[in-house]
Amino acid sequence: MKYLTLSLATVFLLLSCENYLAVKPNKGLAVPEGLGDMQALLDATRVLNESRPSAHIIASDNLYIEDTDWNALFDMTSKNAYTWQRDVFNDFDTNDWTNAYAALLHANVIVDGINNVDRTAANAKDWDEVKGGALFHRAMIFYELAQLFAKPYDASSAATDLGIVLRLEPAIDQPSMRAPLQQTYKQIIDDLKAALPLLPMHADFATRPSKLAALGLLARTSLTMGDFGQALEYADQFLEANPELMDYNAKDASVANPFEQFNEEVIYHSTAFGWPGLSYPSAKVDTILYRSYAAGDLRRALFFREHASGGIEFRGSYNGARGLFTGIATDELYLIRAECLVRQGRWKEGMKVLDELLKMRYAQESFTGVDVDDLEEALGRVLEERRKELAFRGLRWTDIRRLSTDQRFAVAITRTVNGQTYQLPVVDGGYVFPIPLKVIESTGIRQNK
Amino acid sequence: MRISRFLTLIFFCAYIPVSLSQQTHRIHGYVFSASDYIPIAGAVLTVDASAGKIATDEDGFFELFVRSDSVLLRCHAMGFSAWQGSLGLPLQNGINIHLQDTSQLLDEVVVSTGYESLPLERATGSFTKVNKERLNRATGTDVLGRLEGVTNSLTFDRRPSQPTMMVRGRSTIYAGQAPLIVLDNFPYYGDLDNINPNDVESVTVLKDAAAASIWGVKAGNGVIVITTKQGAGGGKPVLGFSANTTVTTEPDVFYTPAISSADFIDVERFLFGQGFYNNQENNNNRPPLSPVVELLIRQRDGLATQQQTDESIGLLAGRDIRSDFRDYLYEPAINQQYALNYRGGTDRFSYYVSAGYDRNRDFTDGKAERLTLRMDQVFSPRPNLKVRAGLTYTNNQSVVGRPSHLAITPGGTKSLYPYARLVDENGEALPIVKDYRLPFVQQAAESGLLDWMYRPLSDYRHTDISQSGRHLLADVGLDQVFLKDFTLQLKYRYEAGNDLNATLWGADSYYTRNIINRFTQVGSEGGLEHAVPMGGILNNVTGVLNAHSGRAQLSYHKLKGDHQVTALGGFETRQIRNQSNTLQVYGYDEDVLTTGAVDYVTNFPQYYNPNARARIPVGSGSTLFSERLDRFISAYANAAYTYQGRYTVSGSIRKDASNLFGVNSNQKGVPLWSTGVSWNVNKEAFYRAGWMPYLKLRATYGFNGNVDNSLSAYSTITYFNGNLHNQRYAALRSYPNPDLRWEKSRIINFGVDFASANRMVSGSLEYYVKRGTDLIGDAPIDPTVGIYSGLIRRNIAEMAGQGIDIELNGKWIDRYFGWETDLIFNYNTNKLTKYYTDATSGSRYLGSGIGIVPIEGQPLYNLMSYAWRGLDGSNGNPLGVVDGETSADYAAITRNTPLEGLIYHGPSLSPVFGSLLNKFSWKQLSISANVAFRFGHYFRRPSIAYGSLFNNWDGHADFAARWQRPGDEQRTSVPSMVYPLNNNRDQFYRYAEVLVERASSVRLQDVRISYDLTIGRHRYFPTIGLFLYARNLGVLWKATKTAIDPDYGLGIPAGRSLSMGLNMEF
Repeated sequence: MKYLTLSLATVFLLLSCENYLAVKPNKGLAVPEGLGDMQALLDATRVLNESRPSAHIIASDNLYIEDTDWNALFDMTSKNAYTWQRDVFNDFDTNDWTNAYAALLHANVIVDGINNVDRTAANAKDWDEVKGGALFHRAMIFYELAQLFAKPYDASSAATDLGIVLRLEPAIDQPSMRAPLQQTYKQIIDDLKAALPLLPMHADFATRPSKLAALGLLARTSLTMGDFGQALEYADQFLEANPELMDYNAKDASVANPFEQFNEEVIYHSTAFGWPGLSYPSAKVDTILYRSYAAGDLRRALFFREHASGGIEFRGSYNGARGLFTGIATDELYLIRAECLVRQGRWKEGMKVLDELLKMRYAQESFTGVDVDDLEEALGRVLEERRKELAFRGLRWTDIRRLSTDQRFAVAITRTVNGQTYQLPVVDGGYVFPIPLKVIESTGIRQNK
Repeated sequence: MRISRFLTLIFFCAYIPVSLSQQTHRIHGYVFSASDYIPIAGAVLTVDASAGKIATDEDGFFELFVRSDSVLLRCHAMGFSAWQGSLGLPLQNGINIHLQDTSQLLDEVVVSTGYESLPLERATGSFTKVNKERLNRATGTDVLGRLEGVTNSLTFDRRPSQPTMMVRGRSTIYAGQAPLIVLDNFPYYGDLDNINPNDVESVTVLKDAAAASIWGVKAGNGVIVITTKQGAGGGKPVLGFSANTTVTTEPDVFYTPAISSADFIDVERFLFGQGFYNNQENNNNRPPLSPVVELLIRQRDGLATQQQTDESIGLLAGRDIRSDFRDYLYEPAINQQYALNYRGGTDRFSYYVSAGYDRNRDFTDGKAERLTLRMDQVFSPRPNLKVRAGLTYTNNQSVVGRPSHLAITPGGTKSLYPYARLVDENGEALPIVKDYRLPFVQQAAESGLLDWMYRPLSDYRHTDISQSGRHLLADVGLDQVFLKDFTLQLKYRYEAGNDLNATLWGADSYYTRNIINRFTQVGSEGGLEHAVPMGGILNNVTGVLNAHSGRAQLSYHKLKGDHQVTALGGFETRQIRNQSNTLQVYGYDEDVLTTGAVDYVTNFPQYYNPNARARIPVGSGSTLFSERLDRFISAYANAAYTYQGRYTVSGSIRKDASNLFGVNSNQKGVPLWSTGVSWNVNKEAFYRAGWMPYLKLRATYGFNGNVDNSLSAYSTITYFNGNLHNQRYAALRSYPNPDLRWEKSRIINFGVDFASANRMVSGSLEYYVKRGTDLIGDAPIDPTVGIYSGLIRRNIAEMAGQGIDIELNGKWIDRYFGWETDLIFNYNTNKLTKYYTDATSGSRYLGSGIGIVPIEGQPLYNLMSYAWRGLDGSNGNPLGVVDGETSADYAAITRNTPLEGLIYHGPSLSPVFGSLLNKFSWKQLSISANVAFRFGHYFRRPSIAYGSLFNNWDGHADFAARWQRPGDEQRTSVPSMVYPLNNNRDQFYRYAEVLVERASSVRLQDVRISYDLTIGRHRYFPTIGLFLYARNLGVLWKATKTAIDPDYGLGIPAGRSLSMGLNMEF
């Protein structure tokens, strides 16, 4: 009898094995499957919002590094990006390429996984927002990668120019290939257009994508492509729904950081990866830029701090603390709108838009309005304001690239480090960041020249 | 047969002439082995009267004729004890002579696999047994440490951050590499320090597949079975007591060759002149600058004259912080151990009761106590039923003392500057630079913040780091014999542990003051507000372990005639649950037990840099609660068949399933199995080598398994607290791996066991071949898929290994004076046979020379370097090789040197190791000494790295020997100092050929002197043993000419220790 009981117990044990062994070993783990899991992945701000590509900020002309500081820098990425070398992202596994693609994997897991979650009347709003959010993130990542790792957009050659690697699925066994530049930008636009109807106008948190964010990025992307008509359309839609600007007259320049994180102008929040060469005292603000803020321009005091030891520190980040803001804010849309109007010949309208912005940036008593005489002057003025307003947002690099073919506004940058002079290459698309060697070795994709 | 008959005939004929006078009688019969009734061929029979001799034939038959009425007949055969008997003649019948097999007279060694106990003589597998005597040679709180130097095939690695113990070398790359520890019948999950070594009867190491594969997927790294003492039925009760005290000398802080203060200051002055510190000086985070740099800044800013500065710096240059470490941090460690046990019993009931108490004080005045209580009883209500119940309770407590010298740092990655001081002339603790610049810290105090200084030598008094644990082990078991040959065994073990790691940073501790200060908010009026309340900070981490193991096993044992069968089979299930939670509170007042409230949500500006914001930490880590649950279900069977005591065939099979993999992978798993044969050659009739009465050959084949707990078959995410918006979030943790499976290790083992007559020389020799398949390794993957490292763990690797284990015991003299020798000689080597290796980039494969570096075609532990062409005579640049040409293009060397361009030195873990133990005794006094050796490996010696020196204040004494002017290249290989830093140049030198040394060494591991005070064997006199034991007595010989002890790598070698103690039994 005893043995019979034992045998039965054994059989029972084996039959119940599957349930017994189906329990997950670690309670903190989950297999991503529910809408809640997808939302939690989308809320991984550490991955999606906080480590955005930033070596191009070091490479652009808003900052300079003194020889002593350049010599003391330990980080080769900062040193070599500063002088536009070919060896930039090879010392650390964590760099502008891998940060972006790790974030992309998150986005793709959501885009892919959300399809396995039933969309019901009860969860439709959340379901849409999660899917739209993931599509927005994907577009944002592709856009930023294209600014570093692909040539500037030129409609005449975009079909054959090399773009970036467009991974659209989370499967890790698919080979990476560089899509043409045209397809790269098309994907960005397509993802954003697909996201538009899914996203709410405003998100609960600025780290989550919203319809405004998608419109803002569409406007930015169109401007980058030189499609001023589209850019204007998106900027108009954006500003119609959300025209509010902060009045800098209300800001206190005496506090450490005059701008708060998630302030009224922040539509979508993201910050730059903190390469050592990006922050003061290594990085000092270009003196020409600093001097270009006119008397009465509140930004001079709010954005910068002059140090007794020499050098100017940028402190105007919309992140509210250390770390450069690279997200989408309302002020950028004013500038896009203004530029597009000017580009379309409506320069007087453009200057009015600029006035609306600058009114909030100048001391009330000293602002008299922008005074220009012709279209070219208006364009020059709007581009100058772009540089001043959007300093250290990661946008300058793109502006340098897209203006490089325009004789009137092309920017030539030279740098002298330890007596050696370097000049930013401009021919044939100019300087395009080299893809990490590890990637080239394992994929065989074409390296940038 | 013909020949022996023929010989008989000759003998017979030869006797005829002298045997005429008396009647001739025939004596005939057979000679058998007494143990198994096997006829003995070649046994020699002699008859005294006639000096006649005759040998038995193949059937053991003999026949001889004598002319006498009575004879003394003698019989002897090789491997058997002699026989003699007086015979009155004539005999009516033939006689049968039974000879005792001398090998049967040897002590029967019984080993335990955790599932069964079996005599070594009948085993096919490879076992190493360490008995009580060997275990108790050494002293110490833990059991496993005592195995060092006395255990065949066990490698102990004392280098920092390495797995300490390996059975027959490493069998895995990235999966768990610790051997499975079995305590009696079940795997042990608690802290091994909870086991009282005085309760241990023996330790058995299961080395090959036949021995270990019964443990299935946990056996891949070998299995160590700890068998505890049990009560003994029948004998009189015995009371045992033992006590010992060990004193260990403090770590030698001067062992690490450090840059001198004068040199360090010269470097700081040089860098200051280069503007190296400008960046840090102006950094908003106010990172710490060393006292010399602060002095130089004061001079530059006109706050001090050059003369004043030079004087102040001159004072610093003469200091060496290591003297302070030696004088104020360290003292000898003292361990005391007491153990008491009482055991005895009857046929029906036996018991073992013990208590152990350990009291340790470490080098830094940290204290630890352990109390173990154990009770084990077996009773047999009926002869065929045995019930066992055991209970072990352990309570341990420890308190951390002073910080170690490595823990005293200025924060971040910086090391303490060499001219620091810990105390002033009056013995008052002095502050060191910590976390922030000194002027900032001073200014903050003036602004009303708490004192922000860190004084290492007094701070520990305000910090209370303690650990306490309780551990319970309860065993119940039942053995029911039925149908004569069957036994049903039911066993269950419950293991429970509770640990509390409590840290109380008192209100005066630096940790607390630092947090309060950092979170101090400056109000609009300049007033100060404390976001973190005054008072202490308490952090409690509670860990709870609950493990259940159950087993139902049926065994069969039958001995009939020539046949002996043992078989067992059963099911086993285990569940291990580990939970932990962390609690951190602020404003804690330990006197009245109150806490303060804090705001965990707000991102507060930090006082040291208002641009930096942080939330008040909720706990010490990001995970406050964790829970892990591992489940296993296994089925196993094992059988052995022995024929005539000579031939044994064994087999074992096991299948495991666990919740790690998901059901699909469990189903894919192939059962792990093993088989083996053994042959007791000495029992063969033809065996005549009397000088070696015991000779056994054995061979086994089979598979063990292993697993990496951190991997998963599914794509998984991990949840975290608080993103930028304080919302919970999830991040991808693992990528789908549906093919995840157990690692498999195939072992083929050949062994010979032998013993000479009287066991003067005995031992074993084994040769094994291992082949690991499905090993978890890193496969390269395009980082673009979203994996930063560009590596992904998969079952992709294969490894081949082989080795030799030799154990020889000699009892050369065994009288009043005795001399015994034990030699353990191990050879083990392995090679990765399949791995994804990128041959274009050799630099990826240059490790520190301590850990593993997987490269196809090389041992896991290997050492390679860049070719070295000396120093450039004009500037002291180190020279390497690019494309066969001497070059100083460090970027090209470090980025483009292919794998084949590197110099392969050899393994970094000794392929040859072992020990030689000699024991001399005279009457009750005995002295033994153990000499341990390791040969055939290499290590990388550290030298100056300028990047580390500049940025981390981490200098090396080689700095003094650096190239400074042309001609120096003749005497030194240390590169010149250059500025700005060239990382690639540092990298090249660090991994250059010139820094590689041979690591072979021979050391005197220990000496033991013991005296047996037993006065007589009278029942009222106790047996008393006294001993002195000295350990880590130093290196006798080493291949390297440097002062480095290669066995300890970059760590400080263990200090010499001396123990004295006594053992008594009543």
